[in-house]
Amino acid sequence: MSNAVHMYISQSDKGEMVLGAGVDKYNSYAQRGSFPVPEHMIAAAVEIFPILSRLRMLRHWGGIVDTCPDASPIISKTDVKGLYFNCGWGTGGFKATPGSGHVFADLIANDQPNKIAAPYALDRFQTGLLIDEHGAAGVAH
Amino acid sequence: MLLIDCPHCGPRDETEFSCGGEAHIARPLAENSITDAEFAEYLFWRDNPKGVFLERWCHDAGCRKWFNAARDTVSHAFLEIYPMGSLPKSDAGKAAYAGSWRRKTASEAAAKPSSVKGGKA
Repeated sequence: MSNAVHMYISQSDKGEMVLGAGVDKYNSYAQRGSFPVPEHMIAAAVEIFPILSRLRMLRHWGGIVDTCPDASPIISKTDVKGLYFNCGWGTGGFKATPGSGHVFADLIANDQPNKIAAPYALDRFQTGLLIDEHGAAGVAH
Repeated sequence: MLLIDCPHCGPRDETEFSCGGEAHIARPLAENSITDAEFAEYLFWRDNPKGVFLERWCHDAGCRKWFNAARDTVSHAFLEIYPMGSLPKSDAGKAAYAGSWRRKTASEAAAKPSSVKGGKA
């Protein structure tokens, strides 16, 4: 993963290079990729590894990046009894899944968040106690 | 690659622009008359419709001027582009403006100059 340019890369067991990428700058339900994001990523990749310019793109895909204003997730009770939120994981979700599942199960079982989950409640946007994790993804912005 | 029709420069690639998010968010003037939860609707809550969305855009790499747009978030089609500080004129844009939850919020009501004591901002 590069801190200097916007790309991250890993080689699969088959030998293919898997690269990522970034988000569209605007809200979208289009369920299709966009050209500028891979173009920007490939420029960064080729800058660090010029040999990658010889590769062919085999496939590309896109998904939803749901992000809160502070780039932290929402783990929260709601005003509706029995309804709990665990969302807003944006760019951090894949690696945090086991931990978030654990505290979310705890929240549901006890109907109260534990010490770890409590700061991620939805009402932090009223109290102002945001948890700024914009740098958590690691890649250069 | 989206082609966005800047009102000043003409059609340009989307990479020349930055998106300023939801448009028509009025700052509450009488902010002490509303609760923290109601103020949060102005400060943090943002709409995310599947369909027509009214947004602000800036032509960063060109004239650097801002404009408003009614854009469909499914097809990415720009239905209307209208000046900053004005409201949409197209049917779809007007419907999106009138139908937005934000019109009913306390923070928007508190943004009217008449909501401040003495009627002055």
